[in-house]
Amino acid sequence: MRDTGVWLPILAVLLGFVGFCEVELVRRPARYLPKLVWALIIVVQIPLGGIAYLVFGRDERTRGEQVCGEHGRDDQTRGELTRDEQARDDQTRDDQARGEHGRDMWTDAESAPSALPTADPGRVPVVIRPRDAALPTTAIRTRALTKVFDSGAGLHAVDLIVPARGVYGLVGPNGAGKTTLLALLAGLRRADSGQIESESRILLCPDTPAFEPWLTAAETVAAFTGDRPASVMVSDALARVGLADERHRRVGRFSRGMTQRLGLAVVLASRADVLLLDEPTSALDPQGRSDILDLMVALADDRAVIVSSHILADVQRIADTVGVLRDGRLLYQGSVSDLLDQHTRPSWQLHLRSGGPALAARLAGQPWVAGVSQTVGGLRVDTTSVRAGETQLPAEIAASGAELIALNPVGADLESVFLNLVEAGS
Amino acid sequence: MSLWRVEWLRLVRTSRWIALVAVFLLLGLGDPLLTRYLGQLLRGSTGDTYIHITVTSPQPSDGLASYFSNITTLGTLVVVVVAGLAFTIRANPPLAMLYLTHVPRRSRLLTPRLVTVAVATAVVALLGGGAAAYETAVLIGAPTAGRTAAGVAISAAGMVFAVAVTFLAAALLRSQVGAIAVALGAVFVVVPLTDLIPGVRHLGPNAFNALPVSLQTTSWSTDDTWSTLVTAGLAAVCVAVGLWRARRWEL
Repeated sequence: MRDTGVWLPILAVLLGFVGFCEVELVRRPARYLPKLVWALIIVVQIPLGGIAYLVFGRDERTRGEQVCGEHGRDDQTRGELTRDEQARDDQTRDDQARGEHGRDMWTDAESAPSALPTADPGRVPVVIRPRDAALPTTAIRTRALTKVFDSGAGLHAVDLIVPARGVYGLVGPNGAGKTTLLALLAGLRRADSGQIESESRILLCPDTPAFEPWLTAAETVAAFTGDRPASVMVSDALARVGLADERHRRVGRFSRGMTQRLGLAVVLASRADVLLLDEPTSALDPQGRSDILDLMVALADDRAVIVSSHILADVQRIADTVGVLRDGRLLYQGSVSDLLDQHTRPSWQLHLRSGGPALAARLAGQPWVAGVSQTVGGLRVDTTSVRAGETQLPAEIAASGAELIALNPVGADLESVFLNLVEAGS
Repeated sequence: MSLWRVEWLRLVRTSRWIALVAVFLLLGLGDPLLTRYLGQLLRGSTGDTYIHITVTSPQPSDGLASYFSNITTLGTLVVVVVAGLAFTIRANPPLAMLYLTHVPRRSRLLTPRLVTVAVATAVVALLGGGAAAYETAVLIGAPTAGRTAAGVAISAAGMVFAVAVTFLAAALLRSQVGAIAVALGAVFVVVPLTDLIPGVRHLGPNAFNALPVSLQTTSWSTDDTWSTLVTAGLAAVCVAVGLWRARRWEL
């Protein structure tokens, strides 16, 4: 019993193991049980207690390290995005009204504004880099793609054509089948029938990507880049999404916004020909969202980028082609400009001091009026043609005796077109 | 960075290797010690009462048999948990999406995981066996080298079999808890139940798992060869079916 050759190895292993577990317990937050309980388990039940702690109770983060917000405001900003979006959309309508239904912004690269100032998210959504939508080759083509779930939801005979380059915006209400379509294209689900024709390498980045929490940001990007990634490529990808300073930080300590940026860095560094991005900016603040939208446009220079998003202003801003899904059916597919041209209804915003109800009743009986709705401080009037609105609307306002403050044409935006399409489809 | 390195980092940075090493090393060092002093411990616990316990003096084979017997249960339990955590890719769908679309074939994603866990398990099993042999030699007497080596090797192979079973369970089930539970059930319930089937009692994985203990006192037989072949075949089938099933995964 006194032989040190017997006891020394056992004691060394026991003490080393218990000591390691306790140190880890002090350094990191514990999962499932309070630290004190884990500490007792580790000591009382050697070695199973320590093993149970290492496998189940050990957290990746070290003590004192909070999940940091993106520039300290990520979580707060997320809740404010809805209000920001509303304000942005209102501003959009007002700004677009200054042009003739906003259509002059969708002509060609020369006449369109060259770029949206990224620091001002409240400006008009415009196509930053209009491209020829009729590209010679396609990255993905589906024929009668069908996937029906037990509930009846799913996709029904979707014929998708994704150009080899450019941004393809996939929009639709919740449950329209966007995520199912992306999963089918990525090979993560099998279709019931139909075909997917593609020889491209496809990478899917979900809306809230997840990574191994014990890898650093640089290691994460490198892991999805290939066997021998150039470190400059990894650094460049991280720098372009604003994570250059976080490259040696473990991903388990990233906020949701930072994780989403990291997902885009992975996408950026990958050599995939087709990128499927599901709600890629949903967790970003307005500045970050604007930067990432620019990045997506840049990515689309030499590959196809399919973006699924609920933020239609973003889709309108970056997409060359748009597909509108509803109830698993593709209602529209084509260039954004064609969509706006074909589905925009001339509309006018009247700001009135008084006489709104009387004017509304008068307009409702006119054959050139497609619709009248009350808005805050006035009326919104849809007309059957632009000319009818320009020539007959002022006369009716005058005849009704309403006191007019302002009369503005409402610009065409993807959101109103989308709502029209979806309502018509239902 | 290759997926092989990712798996290495998974083992190292998550401290799972420590859990593996701790179990095998502590049992390897502790079981021969317990065997050596079992008689004294029992006598001490009963005191000078009317109960008289006679314990034969332990042999080197007893020290190793004790280790192999315990590691077959406790070691397998830890190995299944560690392997289950590594193999259940679909338990984290957002991460699985990136992984599964990153690799051209799913076997390229799963093979590094399978091989890394299997090799790590085999290495710690060899380490634990070495520790048991060392402690036995110091406390009880030098064990037979050939039998010890065979027992350690078969014990390691038995652990790899458990890894293969866990691989199949993870290919069939999404959740970590479910896959680990099914794998444990297969190893600890289904495999022993095969003994009830007439004619295969000495030919299946259960007989193979008992080999490290029995080999310390008996010689290698034809049935042992069959149980080894059957276990190896079943492990291969588990891996093959797991890979086939993984090709049909949907998220």
